Amino acid sequence: MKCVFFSSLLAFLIPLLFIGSYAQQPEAKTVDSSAYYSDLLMDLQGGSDFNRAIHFFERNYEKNLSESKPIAAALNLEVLANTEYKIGDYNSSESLSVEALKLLDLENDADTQVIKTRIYNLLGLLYANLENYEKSKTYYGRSLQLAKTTSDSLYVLINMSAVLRAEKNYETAIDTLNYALNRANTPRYTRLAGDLLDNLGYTELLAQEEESLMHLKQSLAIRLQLHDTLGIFSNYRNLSSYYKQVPDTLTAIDYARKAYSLSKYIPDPAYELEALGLIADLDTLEYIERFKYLSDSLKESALTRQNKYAALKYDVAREQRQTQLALLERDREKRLKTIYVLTLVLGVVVILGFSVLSHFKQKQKQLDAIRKTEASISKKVHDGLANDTFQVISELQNLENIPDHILAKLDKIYLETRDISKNHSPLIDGNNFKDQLVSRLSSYKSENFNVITRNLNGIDWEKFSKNKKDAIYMVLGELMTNTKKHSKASLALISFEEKGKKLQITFKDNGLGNEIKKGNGIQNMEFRIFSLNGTISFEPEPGKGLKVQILV
Amino acid sequence: MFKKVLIAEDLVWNTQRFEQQLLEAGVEEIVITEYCDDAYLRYIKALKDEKPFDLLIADLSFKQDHRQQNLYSGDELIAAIRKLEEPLKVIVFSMEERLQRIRLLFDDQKINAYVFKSRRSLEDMAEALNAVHHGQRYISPQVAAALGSRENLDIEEYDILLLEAIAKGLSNREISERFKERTIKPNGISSIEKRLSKLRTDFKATNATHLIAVVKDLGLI
Repeated sequence: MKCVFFSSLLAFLIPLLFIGSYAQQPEAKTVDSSAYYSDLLMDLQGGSDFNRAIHFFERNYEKNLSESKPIAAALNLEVLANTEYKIGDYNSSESLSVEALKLLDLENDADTQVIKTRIYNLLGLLYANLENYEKSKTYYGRSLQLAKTTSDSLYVLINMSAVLRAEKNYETAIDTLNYALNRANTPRYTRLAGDLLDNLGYTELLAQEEESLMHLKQSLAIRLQLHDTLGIFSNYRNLSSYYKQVPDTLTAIDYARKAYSLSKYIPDPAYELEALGLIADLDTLEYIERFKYLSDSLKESALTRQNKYAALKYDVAREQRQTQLALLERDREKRLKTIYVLTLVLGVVVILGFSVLSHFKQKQKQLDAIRKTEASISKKVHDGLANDTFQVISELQNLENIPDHILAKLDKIYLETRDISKNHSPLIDGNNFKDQLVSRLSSYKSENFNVITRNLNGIDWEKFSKNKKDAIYMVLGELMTNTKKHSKASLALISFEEKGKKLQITFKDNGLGNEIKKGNGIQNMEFRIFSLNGTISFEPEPGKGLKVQILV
Repeated sequence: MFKKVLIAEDLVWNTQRFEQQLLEAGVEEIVITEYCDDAYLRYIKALKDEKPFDLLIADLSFKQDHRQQNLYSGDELIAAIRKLEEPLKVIVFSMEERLQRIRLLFDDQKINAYVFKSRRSLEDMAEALNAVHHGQRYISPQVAAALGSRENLDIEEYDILLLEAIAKGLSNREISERFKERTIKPNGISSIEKRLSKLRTDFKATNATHLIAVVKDLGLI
């Protein structure tokens, strides 16, 4: 019964968190995208989407900060802190939480207190995971002080008792749980009482207290009534442990088998594995082989996942428990209610669809406007500035006694103006994209610099949208200009690879590989790629060159 | 030399110098216009008067001002005149350096020369006049790639095989044998040598060792 409840408060609080952010931001559009990105963060699966969601909240945070909306900014930080916690980056999560608390200290009202309750609880979870139990308890204490509702308090108490249990301070843990149990003594909190009793029974089991069995059975009775599959599983497991300790191996095996047959109804194979582990522990050979097989194959997949998201497993368990509960509950709902829910869902989908559609339209408009502005600036620089400079050069050339270095400097200015114009001149519509890209790239070639591509001819360019080709054309141009200006490279290699519907481009030069300044150029490139839901990363290697990876 | 030349260019100073240059080269009549519309009208009128121009020198971009124009750019002017299907020679004088666009001028508008605006453009123009007069094409060296064979920047898989073999420490002879076994072509020692020397140039490398270091750093092999 290892901290099943560690993340319960989180699960419980996250919906609350969105209610909070909705209230803060009345504009319809902001609400849509923030909910969308929150969902992405909850889900923790997608790679680039996930980055975008984090990016979104970071930007929102900065925006809210600059508009001096400390509470809204603190909410953004809270989402980020929760995310970092889930990923397992406890240090970042900690500093984000502290930052959020600082912001919340600026104002003190009921709203900020609710948020603080959640953040203190998060810090408690965080330090418990870092095995810093003293700090963990301090924060749970603070959370408890601010908690407004009984159920909030009860969740924090369960979390607190888990820490005490981890410290082997069973007596205090039992006291805490008993106190909580008293407060949960109304029908409204039946479910929580089931959780509390399970925790209590398990702690008493560890403390070798007699009441253990009674509490575990009480919990089981409640959960059987509630059809709480995962809860029941936990009861069976703990009862099995109890009888093993008595010792009454036969009853222990009985419960372990019950847990095993129940595990077949839980989609996550980890439960089946655990049940088999219990049986195997009790010395019955028949299940051992299956146990080993499952254990090995699960470990392998678990390892890769765990390396990426250390703390993810708690979320998976939580997610699945929630799904399971929702399914069971829905079964019991009457048909009318089902229809009502379906209608509601349909409505939300339609509204979401509309907002996504208008979002796309808006984006296309923006892209078009940017493209137009750029083209017009490029033309103005070209027809105006560059032409004028050229005229001055030719006038000076006609005079006598003009020192050559002045002419040379002017010539350089002329070249640079043309470069500016070139960098912002978009694709010529309706022409062969490949030819245009090759022309653009080869225009950077010189005696001391060469461009080599790989598989540019192998790409089916027709497949990609005009926006995408536009962005690729401009971004590669910008990269080439940067490389030629700053890196002292003699070579650039650009490789292309189709990845399903996306295109992977790897740019590499052999220049200085200096750290890149986050200047306008980089931002432009990021903007172009991000606006197409792509990713771009800059990886300078000092002395070896710059590597840029684009997936768009 | 050409007898009658039409110039469409809005930078007054440039045209004066060309005028001088053209007169020195023996041109009899020069008409200078600052707007494409004007140039077109002058051209039509000369046709009607049966004293047609035999050369057009046109810029591509023109600053726009208060005057309402039908033809905004040199490309449009040339396209309009080409529709009349007269045997007029055309020299474009511009700072446009997008190869694709220049290539289109030669391919679609059948221009005869392209002079790129630079410090050297007077000399270029002299060469262009001479070439066009003798029925040849001319293009300034800075943008000459526009008329070269379609450029191909892609490295071939064959080259990568070759580089990998060199990196393994194989001699040209050994590579030739291995390629023969696997029917990879070309596999003659001299073709392999030639190919390697081209790769050295492409990768700006001084010798084989340097070449391998460079392609390894780029992550090509």
